[in-house]
Amino acid sequence: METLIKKAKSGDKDSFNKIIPLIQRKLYLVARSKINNEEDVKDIIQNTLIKAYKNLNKLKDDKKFICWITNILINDCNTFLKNTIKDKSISYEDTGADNFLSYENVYLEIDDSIDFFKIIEDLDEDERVLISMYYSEEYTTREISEILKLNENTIRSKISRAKIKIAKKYEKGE
Amino acid sequence: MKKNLDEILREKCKSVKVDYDFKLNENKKNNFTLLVACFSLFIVLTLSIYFLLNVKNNNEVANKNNIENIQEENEVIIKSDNSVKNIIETIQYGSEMDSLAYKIEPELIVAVRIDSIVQTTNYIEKTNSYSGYPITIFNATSIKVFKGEKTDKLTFYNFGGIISLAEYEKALLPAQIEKRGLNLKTQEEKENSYIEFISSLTIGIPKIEVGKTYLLLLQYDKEYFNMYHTIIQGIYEYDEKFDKIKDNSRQEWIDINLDKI
Repeated sequence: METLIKKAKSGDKDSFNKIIPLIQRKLYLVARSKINNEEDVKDIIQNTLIKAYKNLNKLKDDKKFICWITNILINDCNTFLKNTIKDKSISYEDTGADNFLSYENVYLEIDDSIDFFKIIEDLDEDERVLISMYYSEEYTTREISEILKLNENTIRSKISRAKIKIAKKYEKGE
Repeated sequence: MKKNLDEILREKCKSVKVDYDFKLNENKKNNFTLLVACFSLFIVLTLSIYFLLNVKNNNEVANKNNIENIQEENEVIIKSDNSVKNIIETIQYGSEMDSLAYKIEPELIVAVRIDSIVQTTNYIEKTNSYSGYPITIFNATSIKVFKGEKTDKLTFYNFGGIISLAEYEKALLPAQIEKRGLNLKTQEEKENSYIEFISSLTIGIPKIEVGKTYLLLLQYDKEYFNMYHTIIQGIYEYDEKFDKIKDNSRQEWIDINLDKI
């Protein structure tokens, strides 16, 4: 990908278009985790790609391209949310250390018809993004840490917390 | 059949499909829309000018009303402020950055006197990009360090602050610039109109002012600005003489108990 980035930096639009299929799923997962509307997600990703292409010469380290463009995307999503509706903030019960442990290896049955975004819809915005990045395995832990500015311990604890919420939601049906 | 939650999330996430292919060329459609919009605007403007030139008696009044209408349509004026800066809008936000900052442990807890405001900016030099929310950078003199490295002088930043429309615009998408009517403003207007950003998580927290003393809970930002930043809700008014802080919710002076703040 770095060769394509280099070519794109020199103004080769085709090279940038070749990068897009390699990253669009990553970008989609992040944007769709933040914004619950396919059309808006599509527009924002499109805008992010154009913005990234126009500003590509500002990217100093080509190896950090995915972190850089994901940051642009997150900023674009935040700007969009700020100008539309305030994201709902869902409160949740405080969970002690015991709960973390008891939910660590939880087993559940979730219907096949329920998709990924439905499962995570009740999580906080930052948790949705984190869970999408982590479980898609599209981003390395280092990239997640860099993009979300979280250390690995915090990533782990946030994932545990999010899993507790999901488990509680789907346990009720049993 | 029951499965491990990790396994479920991994499988469900992997089954997510992106149904469309993005291409830079799709921008042509946007350019075409922009071209149509510009052409329509040109026609409207031409007709407006023609109309205005023919209404001789009310020329000045009509012109004034026209400007006011444009402003009303394109700005969400929440607050008017007649202080030094022409603040045309106050945005309360609850950003991801905020919620992250709220949950982290302070590395430095220090009582300080604020010496000066360095600047408010939404430009991130490290990534050479603009953020949708600004930070305000302060210089301070350390009075007493309760946790962390001892230091006499301190430069730190706080989330939020006041930036000009011109600076704010740099972080916006073209559609947002249009929606907010910034494309209708001159560069001079944008440089002389300001937006104030207040994090919704800092409501009830004292505003940092030059000359005053505060107890600050800080975390070092090595990713973006290479300086300490305040943790959300980590700002307390500090009474140097009695070594007390003001409780932000009850507004009472209390003894400093690091376990409780």
